[in-house]
Amino acid sequence: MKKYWRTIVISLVIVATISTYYIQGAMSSKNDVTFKFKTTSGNKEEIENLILQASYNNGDIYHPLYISKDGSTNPRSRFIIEDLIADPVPLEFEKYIQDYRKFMRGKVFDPSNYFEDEARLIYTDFSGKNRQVLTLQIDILDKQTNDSTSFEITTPTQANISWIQVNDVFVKNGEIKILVTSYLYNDEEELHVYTVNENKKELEDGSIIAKSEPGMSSIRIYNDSNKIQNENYYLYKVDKYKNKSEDAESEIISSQAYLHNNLNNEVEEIDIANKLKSAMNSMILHGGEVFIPVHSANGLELNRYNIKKKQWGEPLHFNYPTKANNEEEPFLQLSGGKLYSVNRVSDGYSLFIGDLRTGKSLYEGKIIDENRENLNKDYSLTIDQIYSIY
Amino acid sequence: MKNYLKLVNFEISRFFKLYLILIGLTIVCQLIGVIRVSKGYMDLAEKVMDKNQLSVSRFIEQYGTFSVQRFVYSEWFLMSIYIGIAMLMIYVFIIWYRDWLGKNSFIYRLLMLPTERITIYFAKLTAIMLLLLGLITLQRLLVLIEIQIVNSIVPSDFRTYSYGISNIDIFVLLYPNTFTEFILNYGIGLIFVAVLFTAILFERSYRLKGIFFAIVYGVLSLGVFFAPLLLNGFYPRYFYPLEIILMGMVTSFIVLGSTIWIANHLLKHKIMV
Amino acid sequence: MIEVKNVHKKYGRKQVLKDLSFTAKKGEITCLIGINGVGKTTIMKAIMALTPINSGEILIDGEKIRKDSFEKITFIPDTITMLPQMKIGEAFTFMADFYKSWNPQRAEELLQFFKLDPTEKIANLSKGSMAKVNMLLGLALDVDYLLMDEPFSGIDMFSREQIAEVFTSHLIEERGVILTTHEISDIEHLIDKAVLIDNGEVIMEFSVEEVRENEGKSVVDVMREVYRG
Repeated sequence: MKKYWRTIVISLVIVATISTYYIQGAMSSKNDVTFKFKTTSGNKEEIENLILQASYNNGDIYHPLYISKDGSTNPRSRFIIEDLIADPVPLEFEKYIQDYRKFMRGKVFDPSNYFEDEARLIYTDFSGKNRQVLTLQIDILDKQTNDSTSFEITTPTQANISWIQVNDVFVKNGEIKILVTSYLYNDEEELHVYTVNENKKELEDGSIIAKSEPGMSSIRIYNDSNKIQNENYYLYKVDKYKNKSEDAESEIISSQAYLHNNLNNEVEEIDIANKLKSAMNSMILHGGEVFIPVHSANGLELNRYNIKKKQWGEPLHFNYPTKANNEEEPFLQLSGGKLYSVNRVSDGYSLFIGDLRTGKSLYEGKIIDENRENLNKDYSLTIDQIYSIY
Repeated sequence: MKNYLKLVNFEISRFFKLYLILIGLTIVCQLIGVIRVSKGYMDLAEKVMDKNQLSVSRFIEQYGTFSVQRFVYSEWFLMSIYIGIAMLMIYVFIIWYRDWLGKNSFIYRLLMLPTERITIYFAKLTAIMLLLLGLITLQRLLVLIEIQIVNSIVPSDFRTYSYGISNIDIFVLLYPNTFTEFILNYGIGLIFVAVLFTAILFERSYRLKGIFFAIVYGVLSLGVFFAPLLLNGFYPRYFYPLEIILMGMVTSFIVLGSTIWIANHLLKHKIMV
Repeated sequence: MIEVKNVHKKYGRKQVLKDLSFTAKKGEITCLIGINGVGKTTIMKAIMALTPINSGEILIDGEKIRKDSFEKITFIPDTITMLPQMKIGEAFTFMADFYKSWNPQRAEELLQFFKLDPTEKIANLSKGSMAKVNMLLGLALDVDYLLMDEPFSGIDMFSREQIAEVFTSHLIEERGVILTTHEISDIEHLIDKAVLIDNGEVIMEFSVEEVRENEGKSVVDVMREVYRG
């Protein structure tokens, strides 16, 4: 036995060190900073089903995480190998993959490419995205029977396309409308609405509703890219620039917001008061209205335009303390008729939930960090998205 | 089984002196390095803050904080890692070839031992893995010491906490977060060494022709092993990550099984002294 | 009995062994005779599965070679089969560790007979001493069969005498020995059977004593006939 001492010593040291390392839960997760909610006022049920997809920066290191009423979890806790194989599956798609495993194979996990209602799930994407003949692939899943059908449509040849992106899918009355941005080789962009007749499996229309030229104009879409259900309007803005030389920053001559009505294909302009024009970049389309938020140290003024009535209503005012900090833009999300706002305050971050109908506060609370000793004094928490899970 | 243990111990004993030297070198290299890098940063801080009359926070704005990253990417550290890796890689070959070449014909003795010849293969494989894991363990312990040293030289206002080294790319591979991943990663490493061993045996059985066989065999094994990833490349997102991992496990078993079988066959029937 | 049956072996383009067959009985000393490169060493390595054969069969006591066979048969090649850094004593420990058939008393006996120092490192030994150690490692095993490749090559005269002594002693008695050598004259009086090999084939296989009695020829005489005539 004595002559085995070398092997025994090496083996023991290895086993001891490695087992302590993993029993301690591997340094990183043990010392991780965690976050949780602390309710200040309002209805606790509001945060019952919320998940905040967020990340914080500590020095040079970026940590993604999910925050919910139970605390925070690190999405990277699973196998690193999975990350090497494919991009992590966005939270909202985990359920789809679970329920419709076969249908979801080979598909892009971007809500922009999907439409869903009670009966069906429809997916559309272009194959051969940077070739000249673009084929539009449409897959339709009947959620009840779990049968799926698919067909392809060849779109008319467009010579200069370097990339094409599906922004939204709208399905009604046997028509599939697809909002598409084509990126051309000369840096131009075209915003198309393709209309596909579901029954005939034909392309009925492929009109361009806006076009941009590099240096002269630009288009930006303001639809909620995470919404899979039908959105009746497409909200987009076209900025026109003074044609300056390449180095200097372009001066905006005009900004115009447009609404494309998906039911009748009509496009209307929205008149925006001059004082709101600077906040146009924060436009939000939700629940038949266009909102323009204006942040202040007291909270939020939410200007609202009713699309059907074609008029601006009384702005909603939500009061909550913020540390109006130019460096960090507050997080704002409108979903399910509610407003979710995360702001930096003097001692951390606050979460505010308001009712869009009544203009009243539903919930106010703080996002508290724990294990603070490992955090730099000036860390920043960024929220990407708030989900409701059921 | 007992012969296996005897042979493992034998291989470890043979390499032990060199191993201790390697360990010593690594320790010295890294300790010197961590002290120099930390001191260097503080000297710089002192000099700059003094010359330009900067406060601590202004200095940090311009020059950044000190995190263990600074040391880990320094030459001292990297060099010690590379030396370790190089030595191990070379030893994967030497552990076989030294028994054949030169005045040494110890391979006669090994092949004439009253034990299944594959035991020799397993013993050498185990020895390599133990040596590798030993170095990994050494590094882990060294890091704990290094963090203490940094903490004693660089005051906390200058420091960014960075969870030791587990967030740095290469170390995520060597020190994965979960034990399952650990087994996975080092399992793959083991398969890799096993395939290399079999390639060596091809060369020792067929000499010149053997090198050709070895290369073909190596490429084939890589191909089978990575088949799931290749599949994933051709049909992206068709297979879910878990399925790819499962397929990977199957291919790993296939590669490992076949490599051992081939090694056994070569050792019993084709090897030449 | 060791049976080599119809063994063919090709090495590269060269057909090293061609349909080679012979037998070696236990209790007899069989000598493989032939010029350099004719395949004698190859045959011995083939018997020990230290080199592959293309076709044919090699049986040791009626069985193909297995791991347990190495407790029954051993090979003493012309190179040392231990790590040069080892001391002689350490080599003994190694052998004792792995071989049930290692006989420590016999090893001690031989150590003294050859006048070797167990604390000496093998690498520091003279060629003659190294050959003796090599032989010792084989002889101290209680095996049935011993294969020796050129046990006398490059050894000084006195060491040679010592080794030759071993052959007549109890150490070899009842074991089967196959050896190869050039120095036929030295050991002619020791061997029981001669196997003449040329070009990878067995030219002649005969009992030395019979030939001497019946034909009055020595092995060298037979060789002269066969190779010259």
